[in-house]
Amino acid sequence: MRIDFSAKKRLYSGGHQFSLDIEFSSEEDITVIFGPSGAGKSLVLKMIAGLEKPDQGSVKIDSSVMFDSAQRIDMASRERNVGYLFQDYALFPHLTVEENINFSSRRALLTRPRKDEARLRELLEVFHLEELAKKYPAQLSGGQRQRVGLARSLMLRPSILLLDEPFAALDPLLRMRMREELKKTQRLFSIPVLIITHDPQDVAELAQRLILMDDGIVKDIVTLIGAPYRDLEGKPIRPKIRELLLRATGALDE
Amino acid sequence: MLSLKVAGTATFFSTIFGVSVALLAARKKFWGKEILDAVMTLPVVLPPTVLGYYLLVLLGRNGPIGGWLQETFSITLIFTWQGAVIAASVVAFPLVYKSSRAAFESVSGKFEDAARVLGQSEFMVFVRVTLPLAWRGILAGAMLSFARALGEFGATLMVAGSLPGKTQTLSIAVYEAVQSGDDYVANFLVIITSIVCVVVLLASNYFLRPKYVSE
Repeated sequence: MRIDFSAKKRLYSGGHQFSLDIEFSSEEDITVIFGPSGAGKSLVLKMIAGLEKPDQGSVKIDSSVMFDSAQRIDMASRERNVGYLFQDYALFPHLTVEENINFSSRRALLTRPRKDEARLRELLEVFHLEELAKKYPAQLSGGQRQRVGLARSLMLRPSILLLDEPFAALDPLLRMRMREELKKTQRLFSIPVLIITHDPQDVAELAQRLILMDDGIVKDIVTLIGAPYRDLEGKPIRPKIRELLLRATGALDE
Repeated sequence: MLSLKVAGTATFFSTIFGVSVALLAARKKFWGKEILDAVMTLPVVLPPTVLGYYLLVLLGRNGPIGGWLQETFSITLIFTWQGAVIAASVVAFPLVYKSSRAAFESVSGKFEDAARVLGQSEFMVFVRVTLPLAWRGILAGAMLSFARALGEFGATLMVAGSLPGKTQTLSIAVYEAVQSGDDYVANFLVIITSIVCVVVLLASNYFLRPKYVSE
């Protein structure tokens, strides 16, 4: 899998101007975009999903062109088939766990939904949700909600999984466990994952390719091949990441 | 019974228009949106007689709408129960409109985005996400507008008059009964109206209470 992304966009709100101008590509299993809040990370994710439109640029996943301003291609969100985990998961509060996961199998009012019973069972099992299938989101814990969100976004076998600050809403202990679960999920479904985060710990534990973003631009791109904890020479990667992150946030000026 | 027919029909029309305009106001950005909002809310603050006068001018035989209806379909609305329906609809409209708009605006855009990413067309997003999350607010507004339509007096009197059995609604009948000193009839009608309104208000309060605890 390969993702190529480039976008320019200017936004105005209340006399304030923000401009985004970024370009990156990745072929790794887990790509992390790291940056402080307000860097424009969410905007990038929304542009990949087709929820925001760049003024200029292109979005490509493998050979499929989802957006290209030069060729006037702009696929609708519903046709892009990307998995998207929202920051607070955005589970439909009026539907049960099972109905949430199955949401994408119905496309029109009058035709019968194309139910993929086997896929539903598989997802309920993988994410330990069998017992909770008939419950509503308000009755679940934070970790359970996140698993429902993941299951829902994987139902359609998307070409990429986009995660928006996936662990920010969880308490620290649970965060550690969910990171492990995410790695397992990534391997199990062999789906490329793109995470945006402002938590350095996510970078340290998950990133195989790291994109540092600040104020609408890419500051640095690093590939951390193989095990995410080692660099090319097999040295622990943490000190290097630490330095990069500090520099990106302006705490360490050369 | 006439009152119920008038109020019911008026609720039906004001709900359809109220929900449509509310959806437009809640979801689209366009020039003059707040002016539209003010005009749509006008019937709440205008004296019913002024409203009735507007309607009379518009719908009367010499008015632009009334004249056209008269010529093309030979329909007269003034002093008919259909005229009373129009008066009651206009008066009740802002209640549905306001509460529907609030209900639509309270549905977070992230649920709609989530549905889009999950392969849903805009129509399906509305039917499967927006409407189910907003319908309690809409229903509460519809019930309030029913209560309002039931009690409508001023505009109805101006447009439809008070023809017993034809356009004389409950609230107008109360007025007539008191005027002619018919206390027994007045008391009876007042009690009925009060009970119906209390029931409707209780029901609408029930529906306005949020069902889903926000995450």
